[in-house]
Amino acid sequence: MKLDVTKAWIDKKFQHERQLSTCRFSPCGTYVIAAGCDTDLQRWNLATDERVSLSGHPGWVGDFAFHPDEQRLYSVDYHGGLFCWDYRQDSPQPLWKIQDAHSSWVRKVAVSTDGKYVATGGNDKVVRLWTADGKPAGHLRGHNGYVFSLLFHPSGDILLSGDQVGSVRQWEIPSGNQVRELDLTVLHTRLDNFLAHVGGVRSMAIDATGNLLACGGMTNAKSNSFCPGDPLVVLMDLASGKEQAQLKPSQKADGPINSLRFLPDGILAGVGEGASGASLAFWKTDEAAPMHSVKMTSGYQIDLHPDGLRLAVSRFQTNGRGGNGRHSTAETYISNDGVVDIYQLHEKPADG
Amino acid sequence: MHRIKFPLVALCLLTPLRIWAGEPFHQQIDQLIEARAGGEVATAADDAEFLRRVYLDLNGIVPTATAVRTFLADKDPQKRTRLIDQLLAAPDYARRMREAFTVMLLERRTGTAVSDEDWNKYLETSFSENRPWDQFVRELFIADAANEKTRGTVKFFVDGGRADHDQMTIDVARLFLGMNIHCAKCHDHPNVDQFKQADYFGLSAYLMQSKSAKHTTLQTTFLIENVATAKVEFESVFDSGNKQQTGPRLPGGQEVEIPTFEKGEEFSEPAKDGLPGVPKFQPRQLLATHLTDPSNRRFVENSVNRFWFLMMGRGLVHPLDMLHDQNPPSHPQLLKLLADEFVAHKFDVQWLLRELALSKTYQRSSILPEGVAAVDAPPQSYRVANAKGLTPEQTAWSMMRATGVLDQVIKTPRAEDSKFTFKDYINGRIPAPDNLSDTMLLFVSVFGNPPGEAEVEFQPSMGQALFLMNEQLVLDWLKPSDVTLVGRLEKEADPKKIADELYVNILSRFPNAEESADVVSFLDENKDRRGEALGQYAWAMLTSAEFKLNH
Amino acid sequence: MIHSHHCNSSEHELSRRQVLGTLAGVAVGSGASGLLHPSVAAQLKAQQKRVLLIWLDGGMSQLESWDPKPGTEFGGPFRAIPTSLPGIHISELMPNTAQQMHHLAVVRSMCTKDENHSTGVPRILRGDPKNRGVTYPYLGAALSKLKGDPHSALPNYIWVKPGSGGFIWQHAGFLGAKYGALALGDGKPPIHINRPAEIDDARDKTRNDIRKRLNTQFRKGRREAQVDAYDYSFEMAEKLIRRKDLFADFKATELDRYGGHPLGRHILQSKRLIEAGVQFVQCHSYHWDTHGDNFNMHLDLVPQIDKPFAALIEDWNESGMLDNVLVLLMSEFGRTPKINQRIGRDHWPEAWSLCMAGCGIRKGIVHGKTTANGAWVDDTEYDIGHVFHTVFRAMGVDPTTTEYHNNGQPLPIAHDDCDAIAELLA
Repeated sequence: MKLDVTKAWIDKKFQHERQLSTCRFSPCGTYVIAAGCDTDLQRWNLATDERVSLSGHPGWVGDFAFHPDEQRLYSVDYHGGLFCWDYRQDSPQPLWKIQDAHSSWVRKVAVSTDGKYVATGGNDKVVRLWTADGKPAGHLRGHNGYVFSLLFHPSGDILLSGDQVGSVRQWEIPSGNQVRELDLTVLHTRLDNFLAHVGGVRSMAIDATGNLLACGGMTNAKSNSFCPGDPLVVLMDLASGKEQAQLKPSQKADGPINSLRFLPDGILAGVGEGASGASLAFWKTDEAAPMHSVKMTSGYQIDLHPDGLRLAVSRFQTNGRGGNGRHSTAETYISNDGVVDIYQLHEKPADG
Repeated sequence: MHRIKFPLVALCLLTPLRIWAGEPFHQQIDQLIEARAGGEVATAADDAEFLRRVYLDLNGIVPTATAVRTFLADKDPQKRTRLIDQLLAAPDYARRMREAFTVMLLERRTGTAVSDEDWNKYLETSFSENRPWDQFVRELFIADAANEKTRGTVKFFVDGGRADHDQMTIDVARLFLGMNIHCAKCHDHPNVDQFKQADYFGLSAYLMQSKSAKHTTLQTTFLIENVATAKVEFESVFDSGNKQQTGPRLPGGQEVEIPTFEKGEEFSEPAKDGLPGVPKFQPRQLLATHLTDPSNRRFVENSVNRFWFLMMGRGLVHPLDMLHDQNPPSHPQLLKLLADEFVAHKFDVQWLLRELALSKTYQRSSILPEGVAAVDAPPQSYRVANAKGLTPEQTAWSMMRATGVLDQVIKTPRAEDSKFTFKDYINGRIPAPDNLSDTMLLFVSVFGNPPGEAEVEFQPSMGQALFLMNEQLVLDWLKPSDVTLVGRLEKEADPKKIADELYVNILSRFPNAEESADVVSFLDENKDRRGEALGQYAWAMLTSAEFKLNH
Repeated sequence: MIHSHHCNSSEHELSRRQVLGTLAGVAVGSGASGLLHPSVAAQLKAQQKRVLLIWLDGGMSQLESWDPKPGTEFGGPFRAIPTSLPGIHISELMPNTAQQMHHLAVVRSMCTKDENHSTGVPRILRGDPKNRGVTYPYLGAALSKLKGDPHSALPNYIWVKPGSGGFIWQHAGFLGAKYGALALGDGKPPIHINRPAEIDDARDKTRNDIRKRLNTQFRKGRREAQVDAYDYSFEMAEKLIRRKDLFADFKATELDRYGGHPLGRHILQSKRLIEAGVQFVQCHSYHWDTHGDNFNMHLDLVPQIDKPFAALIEDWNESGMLDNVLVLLMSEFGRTPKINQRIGRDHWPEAWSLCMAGCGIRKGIVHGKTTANGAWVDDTEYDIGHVFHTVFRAMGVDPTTTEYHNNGQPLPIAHDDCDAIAELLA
């Protein structure tokens, strides 16, 4: 099959009764796992559609990441916890857990490509390093805002962390020394009348060369209430540390680009939020406008299957009338749903 | 609560008044107003009250002392008509209209992409040439930066805080259609049945392709249009998932079909000078024509309502941007008549203002008829003249004329390197303004609303009172000098003459006996500090409600 | 309905005529100390009562503040923490307030009518009375009419707000311009509060006396509202000039305790004004309308009210001010339990919370409850009319016997189908 995002089609759809902010394929390729506005992770078998919940977190699961050993999964929660699971078990139970990995929300977790280190970041503005077994391996201090994104460079000895106020820090691993700071303040807005920071570096992705860093978020936010802004991807040249280009979705939307991923052919895929919908966009990195995009509801995360041909997209699905005030009875007023769409990034076979 | 129903109103609706086509138009206005006045109307304003009012409304400044004396002494029964014509022909008319419509159209928003000079020149020329109102509005929408004569029009969209299409849509609807459809961006208006989300996006579709771009060689800002390829899609936040589409469409109008062209065939002119090509299909240019078409009643009614408001202090539809069935006009028949006649007179602005000024309704006293309580003569009854607060510009011009400093301020050139800002001034970093444009800026900063807030209601503030009490510049205007009124009066021996001069110069009328006596006795009590005492009296007059209100 | 004496006169206060005239008959035979009818003595005393209304415009989420539902369908990511009131939990975003809970009264069962800001804010602040064809005053204007001191050296109704200031007479509704709000932009007085040296008190009085004479003349036979509003803007200017000291810089210790952010400074400024005798201060914070990114925003926003609010309650409790000042913390509604596609919460008037403390209010009570998922009131629903009744009662005004008179039309001061929430009253 030839990768061709312009022919992308939805093969499967998994649904959960809460919004799903994260979704990832397991490195073994068997599962897609997702989590979000509740305490459980949901595991779907891509072949059989069987669903199993990974229960145990006391708070919302902010993020999770896989170890390259194709066995372990690390998940973090908003009560400060870091959990490790064997995600393949029939009914997974935590292998171990650290309830107070951080003093408040842990928003992000990442595992180094060699599997030696696990990094976590959250509202204490600290990035913590752990060994794969959960032994503390360092504190990376310097952020002036919540840590919103984490990414290990494929070279293995570089960790990148992005924050609420538009700063990306580059750290040396395992020393934990800050090597430099990249300026992504274009993704942060704080006007005089704002009560809070709006925006931040919501997502990062690195291309196959290891030199092009894509940072997603939004710029030019207009308020801290609706938090509307212009969705934006900033491409940074890591060699120079300078901005190389800015990419924008073609579909009108007012929220941040929440997730980015480079595809094997060098195309950058991304999803974002919008009060009246957004899009899954595919950019060539030398053109500001996407070469292709698919309209959809607010998207929260994307991930590429190990086969390089499937994309998982977690997004919003409305559940009855929303908006201001009462439009339904107590019986029909229920939470919105989370959906994970599995896209095939190639032409749909004629036999369907 | 959206409206109060008066049985009386209902009754009037059932019995429309017959208007005799042969009668002068302003008399037809008066008949329609008096028919629903609900009681006795105020007597006619006296000459002084009328003179001051019509000067402020048509020329934006109080009359000179000479003009007051001359007009009051004039015995010609046609003098009011003559005065109206004289004021409409005066250079100050174009300036006053420029000020009034700058405030209305830009709402104190500022920007530097298009110069104030270009904008001012466009407005003043339009009003002095008496350009038909529909043409004026059309030109604002066409926004032709290539034509030197209309270059200033580009400011409306580019510098009016309207860089984004939502603000463009909202402001066009409010200012030209009398529709405050802000709420309708996300859903049908919750309280106004006629303001639909589809209207919002239909209007928006006309403006979606417009954005500013800079011409590389001319270094001039253009309002270009991109190629329109698709309809605008929208959904209500209350009905998420139910997508709707619309092409350009005026509220109550037909949707415009968006033509499709072969790739490469979309443009009538190719890209050049840093500007993109000119598309064959330009929805904003179409809007210029569609919106201002006489068949677009909303446009016509909103237009006459705003001119009516300018003269009468309250819109027939009020608030001005709430033109809809649940907020009916106070005088529906009159609104219709004004709209019909404005169209029949080819949107002749001076004709309309002249007829309004000639009406008895306009020329009524602001004093209630004997025995009538204010509550029984609400503003929308027009039984009494509605007093209007002086605008920031009227305040500045009139204070300078009244205190005698106007000519000197006008004569003083603005230093080329003047960096006068209100903030720097009130923080004591720069000296007081001495020239006209900086002085106007100071007054606008103190008396104007924040950017984006329409100036409709009289909203005196403590900050303004403190300014008048303690601003050194104003206090200096009231000190004896070669040019000031106080300086001239200090040399005058006759206290009764002084009383006359103070009243004629500041309040544009002669004092009555009691008022004159008050001045005389005050000066007598303060013989030893005459100059200062004169300044105090003049200050009190300048800060009186009688001065502050256009009554 | 019984007409209250002190609201019959157009001059609302306990007028001289009332004390010396109407009451003469009642007081016959009383000793010197009993010259006043007991209820009037109470009213005189009550005139010292003041109100601080802290308004979080746009609507703070009840689920992220007073009524947490952790671990439930709509509960959001935040935890609930115990408070100084045994058995009562509030959101972890309010740790300081949790320690003051024993001084507070929280209502968790507000259910109001309007889900729009533009109409909802004035409706709530006017007490949403039955439509009688008049525009009702905002709470601040109402209380400055009913309880304000006309001879106060300061305006009775001050509005501390971000942005620009001015005199907002529209708040007065039918009461007339002078009951409007003096808005202080960013809590600061205008720069022109400083009088040039050449104008001393005597000179200032001289020129203003003439001005007032001229206005008295001009007012004759005209609609008074505009002249009154203009006159009043000068009157307030004069009062304020005499109290410049109220706007001195805050001490570092104060800012440390209340927070240096706008809401912290504005609550500090409001505190000073109330302590200086202002009858009603409305302290406004904008941008709580978190349709987008609700949880990140509440994470940063709620602490901005938690810290200064808790400090204020603690300080006023210690100083005894809380005995005479009613503090009200509220918005125009709460936020939707449902989380929308921008991870925001929308407007929810169906079930929300507000907090009161101080003068006339019971200490340490949480009244009313919502369903397990927090979406609906699971008890008696309270509308804003009930809150107005409660506030008036706490201020010593009987809303069942006191009415406004608007050109001869008697008008109830609060919604006539509601009454006070008895459980909240001390």
